[in-house]
Amino acid sequence: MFSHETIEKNALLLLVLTLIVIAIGGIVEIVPLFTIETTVEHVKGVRPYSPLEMAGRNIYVREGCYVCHSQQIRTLKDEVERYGHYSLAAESMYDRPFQWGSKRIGPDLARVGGRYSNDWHYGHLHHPQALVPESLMPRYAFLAETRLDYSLIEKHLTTQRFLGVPYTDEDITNARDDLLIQANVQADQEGVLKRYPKAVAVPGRPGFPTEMDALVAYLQVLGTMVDFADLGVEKLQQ
Amino acid sequence: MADAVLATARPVISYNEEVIKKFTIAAMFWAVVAFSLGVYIATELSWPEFNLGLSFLNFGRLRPVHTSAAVFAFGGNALFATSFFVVQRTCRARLAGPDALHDFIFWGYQFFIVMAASSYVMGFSRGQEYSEPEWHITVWLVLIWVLYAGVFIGTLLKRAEPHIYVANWFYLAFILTVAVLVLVNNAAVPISPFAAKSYVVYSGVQNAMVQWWYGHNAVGFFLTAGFLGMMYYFVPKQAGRPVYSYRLSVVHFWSLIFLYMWAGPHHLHYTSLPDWTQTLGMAFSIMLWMPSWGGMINGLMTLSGAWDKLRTDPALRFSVTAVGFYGMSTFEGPMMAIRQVNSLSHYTDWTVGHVHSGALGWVAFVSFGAIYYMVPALWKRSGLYSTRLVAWHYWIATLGIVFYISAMWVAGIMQGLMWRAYDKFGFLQYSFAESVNAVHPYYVIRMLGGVMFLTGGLIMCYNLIRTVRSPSTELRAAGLPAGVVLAGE
Amino acid sequence: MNVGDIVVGVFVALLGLVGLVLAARALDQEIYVFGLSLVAFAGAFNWGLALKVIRRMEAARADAALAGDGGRG
Repeated sequence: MFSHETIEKNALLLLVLTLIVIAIGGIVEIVPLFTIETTVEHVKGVRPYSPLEMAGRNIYVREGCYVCHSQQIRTLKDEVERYGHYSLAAESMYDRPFQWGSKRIGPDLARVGGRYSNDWHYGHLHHPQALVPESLMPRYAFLAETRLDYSLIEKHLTTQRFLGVPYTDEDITNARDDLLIQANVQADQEGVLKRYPKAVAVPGRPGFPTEMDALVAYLQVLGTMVDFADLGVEKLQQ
Repeated sequence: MADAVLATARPVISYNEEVIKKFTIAAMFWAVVAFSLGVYIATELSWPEFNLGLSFLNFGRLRPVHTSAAVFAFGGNALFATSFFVVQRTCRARLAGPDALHDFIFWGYQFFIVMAASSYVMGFSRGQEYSEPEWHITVWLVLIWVLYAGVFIGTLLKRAEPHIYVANWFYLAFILTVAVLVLVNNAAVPISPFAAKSYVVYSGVQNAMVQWWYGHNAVGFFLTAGFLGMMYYFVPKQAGRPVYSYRLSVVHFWSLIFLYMWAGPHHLHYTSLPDWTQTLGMAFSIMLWMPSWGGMINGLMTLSGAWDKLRTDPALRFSVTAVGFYGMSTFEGPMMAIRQVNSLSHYTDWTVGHVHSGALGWVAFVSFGAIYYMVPALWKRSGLYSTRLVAWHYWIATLGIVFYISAMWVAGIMQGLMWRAYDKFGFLQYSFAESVNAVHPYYVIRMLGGVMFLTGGLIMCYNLIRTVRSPSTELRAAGLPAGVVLAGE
Repeated sequence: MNVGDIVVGVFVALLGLVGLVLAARALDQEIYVFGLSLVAFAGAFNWGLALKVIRRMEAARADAALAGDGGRG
């Protein structure tokens, strides 16, 4: 007859059984997400971030924006009316880390791209309360004074490519130029737009991109990649 | 009483108590740091001017410092201290490995905390909640954790008692599972071995699932299983009664560790996570209510026949109230995991209130109870400097929690209702900014609740310092005045 | 001095060395600060360990001397 005493008297047995018991839940819930093909919908338009957007995203992560802003519109009527089409898994397929968030001290940002002008974002980041008096957001004026460090930008792209993000050799050789061009609204954006459709150029000082330039470029692309006009319901099935 | 019999009948084992003392002091130090930071960032949320426009004081960078200080620094050190205290006594064996190794685990863990906190304020974060340390700090943590697991398991293996006591099952599950969680969730590729920035190996929806599998089990194993280990040792000790039901503790243990691991997806209701995963997460979260309350009943019923001790022993009051809060938040949690409730509560301050009823009411209170018990035992004092101060601490801290969680309930439910309110024309009634404005008074009340909890913590520190400075019982037993050192000591 | 002290001391010294390499080749401030802090940590830890070992050895010698005196006296 089995008795629990057997386990209580054998530390290694207790250890192994504990490991088995805790492994089950995670395996059942996580592994299928990698194997079931429809977990991430097949929609057109989602592309890897441009070098400037990626740099801006890293600033978003660094400043902990995710502790106050979600990037995930739930499938609820009021959320869709307030923020736009509910978020698709495909839209964050290149997000490392994902920034869905868990708390809205400020509004959701999943589709903030294109909602406000570049000027609004610069002004808002400088002094949020000047534009939204009720806002609890800290001032981020220092971002405009800090030069963006893009010395390792190729390493960022190659690391992401190693993890499966489809950056081409061309993307990587042009990374530095693309970054500087996107941060200079006067420059010819053709190459950037060819590689990164819908990328928004921002009005930085030529040759001196700031962290704020990068952050605004990132905010402006959020939620704009997928064209929902030509999407049928069947394509959204998970 | 039983201890005294054992002590005379068997040879005295020398435990490594120095390292427990260090962890206890560190736990109290980080408790004050975590509570102070909590008060400061609550002030920032009440009046954003307090961000001062300085990058390193901004809410976004300080919140991870607050959560890490509370969970990993205060909670972690309390777990190290109590697990080493409990495992030596219940196994009747000195900690495995050389003392220098235990010292290294202690200082290495403090190094981890300082490095993680300073990296957040300097602007390096993985951007995943409760898992913010970049890869190099994670590697360091894994090193410390492996050594910790080695010492703990080694002590179990060399035990002189035939049975492994129930508290140690929980500590063991906590140590093992946290290792698994961190290894899986923090898997990342650095852009260079000499750069701090790394990219996590999962992306988007998979990253979200792995993160909340980690995140919820950081609660389930770091903040629950470990502290249940504390409950299973210190509540019976303080009450002077055996654990209410052995059978219940067996069921409690296995069902808790099995069910917890499924609950993560309830953090992702109505998101782009596939429905089947959300449903599984919800179902298991509701089931989790049962083992949680089984544990609560086991803890509370241990006091049957000893309830009068609550009147005389305020430290026991902490432990018992902690179990009560545990019961409350493990009821609230499954309720919030129901999709329909979650649609209202998610993204609001209700979640913040729920977390704090667990963190302050359960985790902090059960640690306070254990530390009030351990300090006189470790420093060989007859008792605490003042039980009246313990009572003051108890009431101020409890009132602080009540302020905190009720403010967050009101704020959270108000936010949820305002966000989904429609006017008579069928338009959304409130702008987001209006909901921000509406919760301002509750944010101020929350901050005041935090101040009270911090005040209680400071009273505790004062009481413990006076306890340690009071004369040792060993000297008193020898009939000598304090300060006289016995020959040969 | 016992084997445990030596093993831990050498291990921590090696970690300090890793810190030195990290700091020397760091590509960003964070790794630089982390590397140097690791060096400082290893130094401070081993300093404390050495002090503890010396104190223990001195106490043992004093005990032995006391015992020796007792034997002669």
